[in-house]
Amino acid sequence: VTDHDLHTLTGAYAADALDPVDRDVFERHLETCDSCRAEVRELQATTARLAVGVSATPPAALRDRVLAEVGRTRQLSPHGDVVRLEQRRNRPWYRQPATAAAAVLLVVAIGLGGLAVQENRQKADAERLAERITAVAVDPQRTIDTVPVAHGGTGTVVAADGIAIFHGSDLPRLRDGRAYQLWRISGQESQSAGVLGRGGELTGVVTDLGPGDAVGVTVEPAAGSSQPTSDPVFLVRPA
Amino acid sequence: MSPTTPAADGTMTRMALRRASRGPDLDAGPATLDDLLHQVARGDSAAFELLYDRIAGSVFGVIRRVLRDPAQSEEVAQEVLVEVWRTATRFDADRGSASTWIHTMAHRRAIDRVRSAQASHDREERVALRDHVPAFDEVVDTIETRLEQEQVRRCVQGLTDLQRESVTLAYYGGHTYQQVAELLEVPLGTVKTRMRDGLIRLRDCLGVMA
Repeated sequence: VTDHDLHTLTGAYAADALDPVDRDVFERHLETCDSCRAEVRELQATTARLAVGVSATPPAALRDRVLAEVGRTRQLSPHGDVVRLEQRRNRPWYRQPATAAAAVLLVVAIGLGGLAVQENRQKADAERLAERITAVAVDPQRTIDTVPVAHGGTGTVVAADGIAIFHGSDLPRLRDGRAYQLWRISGQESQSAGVLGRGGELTGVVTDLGPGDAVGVTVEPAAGSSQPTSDPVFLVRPA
Repeated sequence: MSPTTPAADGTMTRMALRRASRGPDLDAGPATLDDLLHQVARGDSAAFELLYDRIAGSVFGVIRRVLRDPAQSEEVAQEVLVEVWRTATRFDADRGSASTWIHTMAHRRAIDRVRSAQASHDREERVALRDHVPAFDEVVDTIETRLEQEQVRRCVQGLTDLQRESVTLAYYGGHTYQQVAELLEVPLGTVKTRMRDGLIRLRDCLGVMA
């Protein structure tokens, strides 16, 4: 795809007519194309008018439900807090670094979306999870944090809407009987999100991530532990 | 727009007063929606109620236009409206108006729902369900919204056939541009450019200011 081709996608992008992969490619192009960003802004302002043009009266009960939910929903902080090392976040989504890891993750996430369906859980739950995982990968509000892993390799966390996808890259291979394990860490509480494997390219999903929760990885016995038995080699708190 | 509501339930804030003083121009004034959203970002739930009354109709309307199924539309609209509250702190006026931010989010969520539904096996079920839904009417209860609808309709009618079909099949129909090309039996490149120049023409016709 040439730059010229990409530039003419501004209309399709503003109309949300790109599939997730094209959308991702185009969003990366936007990082470097000022005129495309300006045009997208105008065309999105135009499609917003198309939305207003089909206004309809919502059911009255919707207002009550929304206000009730709002009453118990914490607002995001304007700035995420940094847990350790340098992390990149809170930039406009189109300026988020287009790391290779993020691109890999998009593909992985969509794959996981499929996998989750085959898991041994209620079919409806599994489909719901698969939907949410795919949604994270394409969510314009997603945060992407790439941080070195303590003893080698890097880890990336893409998070949105209470779901975080972890992808470890070039993780040093552990000795026999040891494995990387993924955790959701809420204050003093740690909840296992599964054993990832011995090294290399590893991916896992953390669900029910609350505000302020962190995603961590520790080295554990190969069968996994119920609670972490060592300090995390990787820790990120998605904004 | 929700059928009445009430800024009058004791939640008359400074914003409400300012809004009232602007007279009948309540609908699409991006400045005032932006103001409200900034208030919301500071946790002002009264401002959120005012914001809700301004945007719920168009948020629900566009989602229902894309999804058709009323129950699903309501569910997605609720998600989006709560998300507006939750992420108002991240709204960046440099990137576009509050209205653009909110409606882009609403449309994107509806589209994501369409695409994930297409990927799942119960797609046929949903289509079948949809057939039982009576054709919806676009009931609106404010003059401003009605005027806005007329203007949008007029501008959409002013497009060439191919521009109009490309834009509406994508935006209201929830199809990707590849699917639109297939439906219209025209080359991909043509659809891509018609979508773009159609939207540019709409931008000019509607007098959109980004």
